[in-house]
Amino acid sequence: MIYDSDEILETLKMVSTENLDIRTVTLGINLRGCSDPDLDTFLEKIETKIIQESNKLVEKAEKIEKKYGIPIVNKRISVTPISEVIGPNEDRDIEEIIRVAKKMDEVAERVGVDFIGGYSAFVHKGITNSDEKLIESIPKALGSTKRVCSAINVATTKAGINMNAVNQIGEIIKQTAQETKEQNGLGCAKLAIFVNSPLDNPFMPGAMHGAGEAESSLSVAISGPGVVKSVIENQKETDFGELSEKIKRTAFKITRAGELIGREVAQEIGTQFNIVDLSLAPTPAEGDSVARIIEEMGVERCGAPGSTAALAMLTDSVKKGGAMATSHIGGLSGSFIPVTEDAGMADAVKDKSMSIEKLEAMTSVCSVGLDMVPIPGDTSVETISGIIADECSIGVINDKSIGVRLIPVPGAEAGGIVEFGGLLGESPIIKVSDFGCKDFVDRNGRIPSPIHSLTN
Amino acid sequence: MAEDEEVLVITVEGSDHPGIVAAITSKLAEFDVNILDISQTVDRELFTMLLFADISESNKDFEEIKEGLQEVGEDQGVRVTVQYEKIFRQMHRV
Repeated sequence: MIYDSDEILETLKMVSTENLDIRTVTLGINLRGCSDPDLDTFLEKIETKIIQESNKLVEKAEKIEKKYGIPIVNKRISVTPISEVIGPNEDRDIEEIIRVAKKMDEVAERVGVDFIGGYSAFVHKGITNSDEKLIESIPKALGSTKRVCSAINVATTKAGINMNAVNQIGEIIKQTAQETKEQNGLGCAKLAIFVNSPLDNPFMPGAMHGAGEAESSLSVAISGPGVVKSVIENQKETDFGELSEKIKRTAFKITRAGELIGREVAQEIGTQFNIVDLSLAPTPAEGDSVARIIEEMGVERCGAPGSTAALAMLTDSVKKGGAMATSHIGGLSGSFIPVTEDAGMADAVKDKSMSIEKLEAMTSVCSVGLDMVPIPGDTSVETISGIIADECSIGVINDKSIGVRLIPVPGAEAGGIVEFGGLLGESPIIKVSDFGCKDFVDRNGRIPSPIHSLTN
Repeated sequence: MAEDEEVLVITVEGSDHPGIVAAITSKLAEFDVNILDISQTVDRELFTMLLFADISESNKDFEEIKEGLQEVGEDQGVRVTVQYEKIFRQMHRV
């Protein structure tokens, strides 16, 4: 036999008991050509373009899923950042721009995808007229749609941090929570604030088909915290070198599976294959947790001393194994530590092992930043902006991508439980500092870009 | 293994009893599927069979074969997984 039976059975076990799956295949579509001075024509062009590119996405992804016996959990679409698409007709009012979000939502439902990303803008240096309108429209746009996701890039290593934008976004996050208060501020789960946002991210809510991308292309994001956890189980005596080796080998295997499936889905729908996002992305399913991997390494509870080192080693090993498996890595490619979506993280908050300050420290060595963090509903706009500014500085100084997804849950206090359901999970509300930063964030302008030669 | 072969890996797992191999292989014969390699073990009454099969000459397409075999699995009370071989080559060979 050309394979050892253990190899075959290992793959089967990864799927049946360790939650190995392809988290998403995301089809990126260029919408720049849809611009039109007439609003109805503009919306019609968006609809035609998205349907034309994506009408076979779900059917073909399901075909490939059956062929290889590996589930593809989500089929999604990302588009050109909408502020660029509305740019040529910047005199439109906000209600008209919200119709673009509604059209995206309607088309996403028609083609059978659960999310469509790209209601987004890049404002790391300054804000254009169309960026301004798009940002102002976000609370209502996310409040009146189900599938639309938004990402705003407010800082880059080369430009520094646009604090005017950070300030404005704090207010937008609060308004978005209010617009969706019946669902505990769920709108904020569809809004990410980014530093050094990748232009080819397949993960929601940051997914977009940015500048430099093809007319359309398909990216894939793998998942496999459960698989990684299982290979390091019962390995108390294993030293760090060997532990890293085991994680690398596993990351190699799951990345190769992702690449094969991504390439074949791309071929089936007649588009080019773009990138694999290597990120370890947890779900609320028991065992499918990055926090549990850290605990399996020997940290009593995620958030305890040692957690940052464990996460850094994990993320680095995943990158090394994944880099061997595919030539085209993109997106966020790190580890995700979302609070509500990872049952182990939620438990760590419940047990008071994890605080927002420790989370911030851990985001300096993974990729996605403060993700799905529920905070008290009465947190001030300035505090939200201050938390975003802190994350921005970690991304800018370390030249890495970071996202922030905070949910000020309306009416909720620290310690209360919030449930979003499904893949979004649940967790206690995290306490934020009682001390403010109003005078700091109220300063106008941009925090200058850092110097990168004096690395201390 | 030649690229033009359409090779499947069929994995059968479940509690051991007479007739599992016969049921699976006669279904493959009915579909004109050629068996390339087969191995079977029983460990503490847990039956496991791995079977490599070429479907390029079959009178059925992949999905029909997969469904046909999974029906046999249900009759026999065993779990049948049918996958293209390429996924294993990708994951387990550098």
